[in-house]
Amino acid sequence: MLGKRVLIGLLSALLVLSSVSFAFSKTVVNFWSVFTGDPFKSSIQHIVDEFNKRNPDIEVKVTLVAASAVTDISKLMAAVAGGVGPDIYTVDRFTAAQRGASGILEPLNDLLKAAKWDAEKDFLPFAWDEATWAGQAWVLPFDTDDRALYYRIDHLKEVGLSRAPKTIEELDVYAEKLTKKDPSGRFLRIGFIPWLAQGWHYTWGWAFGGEFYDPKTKKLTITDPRIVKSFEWQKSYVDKYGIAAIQSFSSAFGSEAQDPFIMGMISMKVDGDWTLAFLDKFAPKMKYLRDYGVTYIPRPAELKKPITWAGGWSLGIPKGAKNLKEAFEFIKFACGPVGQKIYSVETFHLPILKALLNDKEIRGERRHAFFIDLLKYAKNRPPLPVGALLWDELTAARDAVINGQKTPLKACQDVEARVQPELDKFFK
Amino acid sequence: MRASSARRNTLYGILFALPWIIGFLAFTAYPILASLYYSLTEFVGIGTPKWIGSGNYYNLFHDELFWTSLYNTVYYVGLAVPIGFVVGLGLALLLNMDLKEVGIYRTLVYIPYVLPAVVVGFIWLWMLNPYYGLLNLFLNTVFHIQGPGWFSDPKWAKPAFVMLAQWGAGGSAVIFLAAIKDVPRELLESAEIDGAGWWTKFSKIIIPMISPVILYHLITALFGGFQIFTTAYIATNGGPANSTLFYVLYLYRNAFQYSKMGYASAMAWILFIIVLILTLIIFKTSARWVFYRGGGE
Amino acid sequence: MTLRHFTLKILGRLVLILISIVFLVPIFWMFTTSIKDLSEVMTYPPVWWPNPPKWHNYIKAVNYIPFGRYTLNTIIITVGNIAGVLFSAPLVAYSISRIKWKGRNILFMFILSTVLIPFPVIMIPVFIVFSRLGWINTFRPLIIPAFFGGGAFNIFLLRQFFMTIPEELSDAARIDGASEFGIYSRIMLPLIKPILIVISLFTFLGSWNDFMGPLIYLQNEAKYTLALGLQMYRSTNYVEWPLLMAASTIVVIPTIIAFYFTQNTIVESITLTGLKG
Repeated sequence: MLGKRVLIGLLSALLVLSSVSFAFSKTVVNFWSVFTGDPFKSSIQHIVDEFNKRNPDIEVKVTLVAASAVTDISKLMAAVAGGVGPDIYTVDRFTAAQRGASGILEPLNDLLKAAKWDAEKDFLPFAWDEATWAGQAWVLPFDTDDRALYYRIDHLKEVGLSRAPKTIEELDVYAEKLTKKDPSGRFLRIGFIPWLAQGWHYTWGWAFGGEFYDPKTKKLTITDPRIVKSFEWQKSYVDKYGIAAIQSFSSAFGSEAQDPFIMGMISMKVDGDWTLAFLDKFAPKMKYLRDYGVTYIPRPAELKKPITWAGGWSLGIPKGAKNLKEAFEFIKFACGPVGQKIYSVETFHLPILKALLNDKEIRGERRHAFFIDLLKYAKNRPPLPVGALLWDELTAARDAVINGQKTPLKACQDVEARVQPELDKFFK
Repeated sequence: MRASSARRNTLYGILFALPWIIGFLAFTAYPILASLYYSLTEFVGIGTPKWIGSGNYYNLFHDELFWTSLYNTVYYVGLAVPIGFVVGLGLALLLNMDLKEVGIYRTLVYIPYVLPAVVVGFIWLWMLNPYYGLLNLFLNTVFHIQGPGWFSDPKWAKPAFVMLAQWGAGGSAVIFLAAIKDVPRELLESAEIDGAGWWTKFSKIIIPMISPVILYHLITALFGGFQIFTTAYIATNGGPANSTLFYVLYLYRNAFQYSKMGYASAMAWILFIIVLILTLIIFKTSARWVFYRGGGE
Repeated sequence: MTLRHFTLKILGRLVLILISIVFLVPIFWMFTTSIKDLSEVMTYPPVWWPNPPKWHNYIKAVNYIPFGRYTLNTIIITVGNIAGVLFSAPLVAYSISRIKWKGRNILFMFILSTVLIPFPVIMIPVFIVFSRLGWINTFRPLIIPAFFGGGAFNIFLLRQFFMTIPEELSDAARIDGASEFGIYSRIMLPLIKPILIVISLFTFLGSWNDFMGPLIYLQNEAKYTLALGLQMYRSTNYVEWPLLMAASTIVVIPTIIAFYFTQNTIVESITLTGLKG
């Protein structure tokens, strides 16, 4: 009886010992990923598996963090403040400057130098710009997206239009022609609504040739006449159709398979590259170049160069990470050619390494390659520690203009007045 | 004798409250004091706060959105608390009826209260869709009026929240019900013998007898109303045109989206003072209308 | 009299049925969405009952996340919380309502004040406290505080009911030589049993659906709860509504059952039998 107990005790001690020694032989690197849902979740796992296979002394462990909009940042901040943060974290690249400035992320310059990697040369310029603030790299870019004009070919044909609109002026004419009403005056279809989907303030501000920030003077330039003009132009749609009528019509828009573009309630919209996969999933019968097409975002006639803007994810190392070197090894791998290729091919997300833009496998079909080629014209939101505030304020400004509460100029002035003082604090 | 009994009472009072006192000192006191300190600093949430004295408070009073969010919240509380009280109490009275299957009604009425927030948000958006939502469908078919664009119309978004909050009235109805059941039967019976009508019984017996629970309801509803966050965050995220930017939603944005933890803490303490003052006023007046059988204060 | 009584009953029943239908809408919609195709979710006109119903969603939903494990975790946390609240909340409430001591009103105000500071600004300091204790990534921060406090609103509610119990009851027991704790445990607690059930139910709901707590304290997927698991049905560009609603339906059912079986006890009168006059 006693012997048995001793034996069991010995055995369990052995087990504990062996597991401890096992744990010592490998460095466990904790990676908090917000990529829930497939194919993203499994693709991340593939990258991790590949990395673990190549680095026998490191084990990257993925933990899915509920990505409910922004609550995940509360989790990260608490964990970092409590000294129990992860080694790697997925950062919305557009917030990297802000997270870096608030001290949540480890700066990467020294690690890049030690690895003898001139990363700036390898990444697309907009992605690298977003990853840096105050001369430091805070994250490595992981993927990207960009925006273009989607249009229903069948609708265009129906009203006798044979090609996509190229300029804002054409877009307005098209929108007018494509809009249909029933005898009682209710909308059956609206050709185009500027602010739908990805028709953000940034989209149109840039399309009109505006700039939101001047890095030389460190001043926001929201009152740039071209940005004001882009708001005025959006307002012209309200003036044409009436805000109540547009709202009442657009409130009937569903989502997923009832998306207004799929349902034919709108004929054109600005949306992202991911919409291709979305259309395949929810409207498998709609075929590219037969039912719908994709083209550059229209700009005023005098501006000839195509334009778009890009966002995307990046990987960073939270402050106080226990395995800095190993974590950097992994993000270097995941954001490098091998990781990028796995992810781009499996998820149809766009790569951000220059070297991969011509990779046949990644380019895939023509419509997908269009978005990849578009990347060379991509702008990025100014990488500022007040990026989120600026976004919210611009959105509020747009709402105010559309609802007729402020003139476009006043709305833009208000954004500057609210955000510039916050930005100035960082330059003191 | 008296002094020793007072000492004995104090000893027991502290002894019984000891778990709470320990918990307060261990888990709550530091965070609350920390937030008070943060409110006087410029702080991103981690690292070292930078002392700026009353700067955050000064800036808040000049922040247009602070006032907007405060206005939105007061508007919401002003409607949601009284309406919630009437609906909750009314439900409780109905559910107090002597019916065989009343347990089923109680359960059904309680259900919306137990749904996870993510489900509630989804159902709200669907219910209030101006075009194919159930509510406007109902208004149209029964009253032949075109309902508004609830969540898309700045004028109607706040009332929409007040209305939808009533779905959760099952929670307060349960407490009112427990209190009503606690009203001594003899009191009601003797009143009936004296010829008291329904209203007299309700206003002269039931209301005073459940007044301790009414006080509880008012205070908790006030606290809950001022801290409305999750549903607003899911359903509208402050829009349209900041018409549902409630106080804690704006506070949350400052704390985590704009990295202004010090500013958010200052907001928290202003809210604290506002609600504390309201609470003290209610407690002060409660001596006049709350009736404790146990003697009370 | 009886005729009036009869019509009142019929009328009341009608009103209750109408109200029940209104309150039933959300759960009906949740359920019917759970057996739809993604393509039937946001449609106009709405699909009331999908044809055919996709019962298979339930199997997919359960396999989408480690459902069994998350359920177990949630049960552990919930049961721990209820035990904690039932232990500490009545004790404190008793202190501030039935023991006449000087500090009790101040203490009561303190208790209420603790819930007046919005969570976002105390979240990080609270986290640091638990982190110093080495409790992160365990269920401890989600359970142990309940044993040392029990929730301000619970204490408040119990206080209100304690204060309705006539003082003579305690006095009589004291004369009989009962200790303070004896009065508390043998006379007072049984009297407020319905309220104890009410706060158990609220605590059950609170921890069953709690999202923020598990979100920040649990860092290992194997320790996640159902409320966290429900977030996993969101994908980058869309939400798996039918699966999410199927999972939600399963998550909600225990709370409904719990209520159905306790509601009779809740409304059981606290009436002080044997204490007339």
